[in-house]
Amino acid sequence: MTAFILKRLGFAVITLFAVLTIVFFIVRILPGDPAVAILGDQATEASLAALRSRLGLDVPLYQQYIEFIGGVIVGDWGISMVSGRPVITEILKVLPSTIELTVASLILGAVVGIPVGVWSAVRRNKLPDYIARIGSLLGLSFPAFVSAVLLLLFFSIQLRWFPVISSGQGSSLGDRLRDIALPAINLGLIMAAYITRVARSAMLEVLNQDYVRTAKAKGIAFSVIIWRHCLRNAMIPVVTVVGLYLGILIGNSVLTEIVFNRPGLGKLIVGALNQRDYTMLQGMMVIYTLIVVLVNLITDLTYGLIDPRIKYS
Amino acid sequence: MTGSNTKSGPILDVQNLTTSFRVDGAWVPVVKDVSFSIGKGETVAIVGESGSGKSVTALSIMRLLQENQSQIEGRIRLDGEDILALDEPAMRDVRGGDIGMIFQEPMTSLNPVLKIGYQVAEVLRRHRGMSASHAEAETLRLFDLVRIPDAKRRLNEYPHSFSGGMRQRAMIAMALACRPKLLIADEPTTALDVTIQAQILELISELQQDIGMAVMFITHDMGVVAEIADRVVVMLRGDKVEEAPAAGLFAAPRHNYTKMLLGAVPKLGGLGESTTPRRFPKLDENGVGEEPANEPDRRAETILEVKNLTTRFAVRGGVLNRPVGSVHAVENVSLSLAAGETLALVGESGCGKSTTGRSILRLLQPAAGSIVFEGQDLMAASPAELRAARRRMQMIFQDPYGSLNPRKTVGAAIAEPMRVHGLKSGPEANVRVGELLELVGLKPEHALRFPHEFSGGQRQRICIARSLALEPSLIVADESVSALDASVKAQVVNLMLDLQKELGLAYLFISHDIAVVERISHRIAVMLLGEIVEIGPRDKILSNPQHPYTKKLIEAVPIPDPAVKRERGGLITEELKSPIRTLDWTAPPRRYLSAGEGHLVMAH
Amino acid sequence: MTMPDVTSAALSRTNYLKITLASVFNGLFKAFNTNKTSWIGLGVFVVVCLLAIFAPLIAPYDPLDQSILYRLKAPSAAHWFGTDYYGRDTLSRILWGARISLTIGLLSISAALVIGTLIGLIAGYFGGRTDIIIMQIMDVLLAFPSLILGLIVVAMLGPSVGNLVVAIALTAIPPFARIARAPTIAVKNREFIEAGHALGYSHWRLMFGHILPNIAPEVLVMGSLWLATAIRVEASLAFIGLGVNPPTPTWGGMIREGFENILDSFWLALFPSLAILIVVFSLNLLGDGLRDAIDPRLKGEQ
Repeated sequence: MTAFILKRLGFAVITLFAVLTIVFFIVRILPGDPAVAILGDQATEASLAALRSRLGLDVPLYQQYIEFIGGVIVGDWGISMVSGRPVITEILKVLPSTIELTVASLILGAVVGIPVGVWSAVRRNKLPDYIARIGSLLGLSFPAFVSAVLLLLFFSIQLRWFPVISSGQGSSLGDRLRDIALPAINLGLIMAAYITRVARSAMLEVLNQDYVRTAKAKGIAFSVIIWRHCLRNAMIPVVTVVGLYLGILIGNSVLTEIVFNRPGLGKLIVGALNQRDYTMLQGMMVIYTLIVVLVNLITDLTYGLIDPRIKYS
Repeated sequence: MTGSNTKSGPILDVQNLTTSFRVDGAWVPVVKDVSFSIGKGETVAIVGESGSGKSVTALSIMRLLQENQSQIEGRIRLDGEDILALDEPAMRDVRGGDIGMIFQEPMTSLNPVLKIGYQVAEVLRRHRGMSASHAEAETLRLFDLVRIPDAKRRLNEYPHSFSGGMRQRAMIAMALACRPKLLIADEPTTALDVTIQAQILELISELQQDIGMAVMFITHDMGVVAEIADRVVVMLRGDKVEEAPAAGLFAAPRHNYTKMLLGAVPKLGGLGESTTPRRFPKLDENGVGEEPANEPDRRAETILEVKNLTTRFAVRGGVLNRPVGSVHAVENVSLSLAAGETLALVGESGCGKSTTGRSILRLLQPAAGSIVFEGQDLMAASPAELRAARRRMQMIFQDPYGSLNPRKTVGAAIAEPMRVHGLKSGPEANVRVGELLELVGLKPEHALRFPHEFSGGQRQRICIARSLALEPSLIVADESVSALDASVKAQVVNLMLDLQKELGLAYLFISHDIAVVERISHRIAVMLLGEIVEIGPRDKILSNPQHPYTKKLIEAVPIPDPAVKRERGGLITEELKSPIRTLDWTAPPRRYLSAGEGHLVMAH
Repeated sequence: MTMPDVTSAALSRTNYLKITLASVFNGLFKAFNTNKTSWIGLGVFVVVCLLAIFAPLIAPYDPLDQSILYRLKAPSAAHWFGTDYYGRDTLSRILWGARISLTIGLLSISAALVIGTLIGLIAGYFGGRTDIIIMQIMDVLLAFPSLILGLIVVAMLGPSVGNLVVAIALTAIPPFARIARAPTIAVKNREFIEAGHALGYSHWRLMFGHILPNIAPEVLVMGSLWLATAIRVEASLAFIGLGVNPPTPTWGGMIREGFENILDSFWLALFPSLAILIVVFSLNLLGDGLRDAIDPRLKGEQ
């Protein structure tokens, strides 16, 4: 087990390093001079040079690279070219709000998706299965911003149950819950649609296994077979896939944050894009990479906990 | 249902059982009007080839078939009680309580994420209402009963660390945990090696005597039937065609199908002192056929010379995934083969016989040794030279379902190698495809069909035709008839012998089935843990084995004759050792002693 | 005995090809029938494609025609789906927008399918270190939020149709590599591939002649599901403001504009939303139904 964790940890560090390198080169190799992009092509050569120097673009590439990696490690992610504040401060200010939203929707997705998927598989080709399948298919057909707009139209504008703008800054627990409810439902239901489908197909596969027949031959009740014998086996692919769907969740959270006007990484990155805030964009990519690598690590470790075959290999 | 009863009569009484499956909306019977019974302490074997409905019969008794897709008619009484009339909760009490069941595939029949001890204890808690700690103690006792060594530690292990034989022991412990009235064993030893099979059969019959239960033993292997059964029920395509006491059935089979089934079973030692292969008798519709004469000896010059062949696979581990050891799959193997000759490689799973075959064709990269084929040093051949050399050495595989590309017509599959090697093209190749199909006993128009339209035996013929397209001189046959039913197996072996006679082919026949090997081979090499322990003329190896492992292997082969009762070897628990070695391991020097002309035995 | 001449003609290569093609179509037909919903999905998608192709003929107005007089009109007989802030006809803009969505979706997914399948095929076929390295790179790319990746690439390159295709194709290559790799490994381990080695076939022949036809159904089915995703991503990018430059109509862009007037003219956002939903859902129905038909795990019970 220790060897397994160490191995995954080493892997995570290598991945992180590789992606950071890619990020560094993407920002620098893509066509267009950031300085020109920021100041426009009317800018004088002197002001361009000043900006380049401020951005650290006037030193050799390898030096920029070392400074970049070193900066990431010590927490110096540069200064936002728009606000003038450290990038890391800006990011850390909104990060909790995004994490709160994604974790809430992940929980909602699992709580809804896993039981529905299992139920759908057990009642295969019966009415509940058809409903669950069409429902989940519909769920993953919604672009997150479309569903968000529809939820907003209906619950906030028509019914006025929830605030139109989700500040994410409410002081009382009730305020916070009301704030997060619609965005989390929006993201959570889409996530639930994905999880339902994986859980269903994983469960169907498990139900066809020989060991389920063995359990039946032992006289174990069907419900016990489902929950004790099958669920853990079915969770192995579900965990993997949820890890892979994290990208979709993050992408959708950007759209959701925009529609509900909720502070978070999503609004930050769109702002940075519109204002060509290159240092901020670079910082955003660093933080997304960190999140992705971290979640992959957690997924791998969870996987090791569920599947006894992993520990020994 | 309670365990104790004083009623007399059979434990299991099946009357007019008909089981149907729904196929495209219509009910198709798979088991038709089958009746039989099993008494206390009795073992009844249900015998039949694939598709005979024998497993469906067992699943019908357990009521484990999918409810809306199947339909069971007739009457099944367990100890006098009609179990088809029971509701589902009552039936669950029967399953695992009154009837225990073991399945064919020990590798997949245990849940990979639950500890073995838990899976056994679960039955005890479910049916005997034991507490967790009480159940664990009882499980420990059961593990000792089924001779799982180091039981206390193994309770807390997961199935993946158990070998096939050990898993099957755990399955038996699970099935017998509640001292059932009836044990249903569905091909429990088919997936196991022959020495392990002997141990498991021994274990089942001893436990049966202890508990006094009835046993329903499903198998396709007449040797196993002769070993274990008191009475035999023969099934053919869903019908019961014959039922008789084992001794009577083997001595005087009445139904033609039974005769054919028995006729197709190779009996080890039937060829005596003769030195050449012998075809299986061609059976007429009555299931009788005359034993043919031995093939003439047409062995010619040596075409394959293998010296000191060694193949290893790295075992990786640790944090950095470095090699930490290696599997010595083939270690220092030397053999030679003449045109028109069959050399059989026998041994149990993991002994390296398949790896040897693949290494000779260099489908795997050997670590050391020399392979000289028709004068060409294959170890020195470039990839292009090797592809050219493969034209003359072909391979036929075990799985007739897997060895043909499902998306290619049979004709295209046979023509492809000719075109690739530039042997024939255009109309010439088309004609040749037709000829080859006829050569292997099929029709030219079969070329236009897809593999899935053929039976297993036919597919194996197609594979043979495809190899023959390249006009090879050597064919490596890796367990090529092992997956086939006995009657089909005999036909394919006969075809191979005919082709050998006609085309002067040399066969390297890799098999675990010594009875088949006797029919087809001139010489035999016995492998153990990657090494050849004995090699020599077939009659000498079989009638006068020298190495203890060869002796053990031959003794473990079930004899299809209930009159010959095997000496009970006692309940041994032996596992094959592993050929995994550390990196610094060096092979000990081996000496081979001569035990007659061309008969070598590893000094032991 | 068959006549040798007849046999020879019947056993020709072209005849095998014909028979194989017939069996492919037959299989496709069966696959559609396994789950009838795939027919619905296909039907709807074909209709959408036709509407997009013939948009210039069908659309009642020029999608770019502005009219101050008809600003923000509610749906009516003259403008079925109403008009936007510049008085442009929403229905016409949706029809024209379909062309953008479908073009970008089809081009990007075709490119990703070809490249991704090739990568997955190579990784799966050769295995070992090649596989570990390729798939590790793919996994990192896969885990990285595709929308963010698309966002950055488009922001850097500029929002043209070509750049959008590149951006979306980039994000879709890793999933296709993964999709193609799994069945490649399964097929590679079947004995007919080893038989192919024994018959002296080259790697090239085994990969493209033997493995590819066997994994093609899975890849193509996933293609239809990812086409749905591509259309969704394109709309999302346009919604954020990184779509094809206005005034070219795009569905995502229309929703973005509609969202600004959502309180009084909700139809502006509603109709393009429904358009996206219908296309994406039809593709999902299609792919999902076909996937059931080819999934070996689900075959046992039929």
